[in-house]
Amino acid sequence: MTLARSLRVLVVDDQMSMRALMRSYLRKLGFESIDEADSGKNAFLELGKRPYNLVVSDFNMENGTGLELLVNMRKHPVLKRVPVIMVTGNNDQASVTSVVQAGVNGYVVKPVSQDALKARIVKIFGPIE
Amino acid sequence: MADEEAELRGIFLLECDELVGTAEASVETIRGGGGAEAAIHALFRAVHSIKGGAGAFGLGRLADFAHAFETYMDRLRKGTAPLDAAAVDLLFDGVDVLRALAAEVREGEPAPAARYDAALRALRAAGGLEVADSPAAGSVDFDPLADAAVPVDGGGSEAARLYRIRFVPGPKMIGAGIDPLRILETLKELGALSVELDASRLPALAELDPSVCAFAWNLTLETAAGRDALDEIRDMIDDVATFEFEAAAPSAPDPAALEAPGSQPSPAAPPSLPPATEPAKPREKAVPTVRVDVPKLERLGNMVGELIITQAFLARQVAGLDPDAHRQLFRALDEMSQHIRDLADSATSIRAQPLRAVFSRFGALVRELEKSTGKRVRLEITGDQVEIDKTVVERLSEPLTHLIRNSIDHGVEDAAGRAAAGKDPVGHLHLRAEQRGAQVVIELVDDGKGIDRSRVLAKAVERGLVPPGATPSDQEIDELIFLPGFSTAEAVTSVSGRGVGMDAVRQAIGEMGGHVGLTSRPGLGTTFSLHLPLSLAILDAMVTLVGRQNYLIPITAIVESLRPAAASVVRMDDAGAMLAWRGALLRIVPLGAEFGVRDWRTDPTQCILVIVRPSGGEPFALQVDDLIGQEPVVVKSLEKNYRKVKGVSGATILGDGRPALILDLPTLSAATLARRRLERQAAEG
Repeated sequence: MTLARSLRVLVVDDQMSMRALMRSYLRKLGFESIDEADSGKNAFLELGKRPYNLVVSDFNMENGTGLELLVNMRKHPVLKRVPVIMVTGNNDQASVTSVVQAGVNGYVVKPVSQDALKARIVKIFGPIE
Repeated sequence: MADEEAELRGIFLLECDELVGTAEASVETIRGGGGAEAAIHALFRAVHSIKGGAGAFGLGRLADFAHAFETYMDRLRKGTAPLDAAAVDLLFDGVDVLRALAAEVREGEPAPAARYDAALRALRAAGGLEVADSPAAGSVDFDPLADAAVPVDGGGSEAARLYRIRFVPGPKMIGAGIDPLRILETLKELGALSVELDASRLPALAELDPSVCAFAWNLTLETAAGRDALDEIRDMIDDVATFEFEAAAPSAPDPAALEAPGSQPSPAAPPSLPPATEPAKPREKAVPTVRVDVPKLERLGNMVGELIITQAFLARQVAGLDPDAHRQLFRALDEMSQHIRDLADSATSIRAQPLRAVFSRFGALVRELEKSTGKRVRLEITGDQVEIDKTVVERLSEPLTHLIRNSIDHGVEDAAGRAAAGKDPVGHLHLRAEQRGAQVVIELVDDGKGIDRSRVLAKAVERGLVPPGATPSDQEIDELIFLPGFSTAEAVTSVSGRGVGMDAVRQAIGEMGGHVGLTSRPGLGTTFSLHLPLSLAILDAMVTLVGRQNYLIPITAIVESLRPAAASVVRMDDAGAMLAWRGALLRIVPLGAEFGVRDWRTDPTQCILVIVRPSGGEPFALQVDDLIGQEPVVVKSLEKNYRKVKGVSGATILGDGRPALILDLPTLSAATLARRRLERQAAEG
């Protein structure tokens, strides 16, 4: 059993296509338990329902941004330990700075490649395969 | 794998349509002035999402364009670019090009290159991005090959200091998802940046590794941001690149003289070019397709049609059998009929295309017309997902363009006129489509001043189209504008007075087997309705008998069938008769007289009256001898095989093998009106 198979991931993005793409990447990296949320707010609700090992969240969302999600998670007694990888726009230095300061575990810049995502995940968990 | 990618891209393209729609609505709001801040935010988000998706799915042109758009939006958002009329125009252009680029991916038809280039250039300029000399399609926003030091606009301020920076991307930088260009752009945001390219690590072509950046840059940055900002950037990319900087005297920016302390060319890394820019070729379609000759498709359609006729024949043959004794047979026939219907739907959908393909152009048209007329108009589009034969979609562009021009030119009042009439100063134009049975109905509704009937009539009399002293009804007057050569435009305007009249519209639609109708209410507006047949139309029809002929009435148009009581039939002095029905008087149209049938029953009380309401029209009563029953029929074009016959939309072969005509209700009522008018005039002398 690979590490990836044992990890439950929450993908957060307000674009369905981006969630589908991220899910496809994660599946190819060996993840099997992948859930989705379409906003920061819904992600936070989802995180309360079952334990997650990793959150991959978009930064720019209408209903609760990735930063708000991250900040709320870091304030939470349990969720503060859940690793978060943030997906940011490619000319958005300010948002990178803000999520780094808020305690993000890694960030990837759009357009996200499977390898970039993998590199960030490996940096957090070590080899996942 | 490739399938999955195509599917994901398909999802994105759908999303993209929505996002473009949101963007367009936001620009409309911005132009309207209400809630501009929220609208700018919404627009920014939409463009941002398009950019992200386009990047993820490798749609370079779309991503590049959205990036330039987003950068400009960012300026608008921050208030560093003015939000004036020119800005709104630019935003509209941007939205149009985004839509064209999305269509380019979907349809494989390249977006107009000139518009793309012009809009990209304008957005880059307005967004403070570097404008390349030649906006080569697919070029990146920041040209890393610029070998001269290029000063870039930035917000220099009083306490600005000069820094010399050496930036060497390491072999893992791109793999880690960090685009070196982003660093340059980030620096540019801090102040005035001069860029010098160091291409000394560039290897021979054969040794290029596209995943590694072989370039390095010597930079001079004049900024008030201070060391902290540069420290922050260095921390961010510390593990994947070399980023050295030192403060320099502000007077002599000589980046060439900069020694790069500790810069390591990292020889272990196979050096390379930055990611190749994308050629401007249209991308393949999102869904795999095959090309088929149209005649082959037509043959398929015809075969399906024959199948339906055979099925109707079978149904008639077994109609006399006892259903209980032949339960299996009836069940099999039912199933077959369902399968044939599905087959017919598939055959139709092969040739179908959503109306969006033509409707999406009209946003730009309306804006262009707004400029040339000085009127303000909001275009609302609904039902653009309705599908119709591809050849029809293509041929709709011209007549619809004319109708829209006509509505804005003649229908919608200018702002002062609208204000005087107590209307919203912004005119409203609604283009909507829906499928009704075997027809697609497209309506263009304006809330303008309606048709000026007295002027239309005066003009018609002047042109000898109507005898002086005639008193045509409102509907008859409205019909006059479709007569060849009729035009009420007092001066030929640049907008719709182009020698193309409404008769050309009616003709064009007629050639597609459809027809045009209109209703108008003075002061309230005008509605044009285009009724178009589906390519392989299967129609549920009521088979009627008149003399020894069968005439078919589309079931969807039938309100009621009745045998009238003598008291409810009112004879009129113009030799016609009316039916008193639900508190109204309906014109009775005797089909026998209309088509010159022999041996038809002339007394309405001995007949069946079928009350029909053509889509968008007034109800009237068709007088037939008898009703035979309901039957699904395949509509065949009479024009293709014979010629256009007034009052008839097509022909078919019934289950018993006999040919029958399908009634075209709107023209039938119009033809009757016209004939009555002529008769009346003849009677008057």
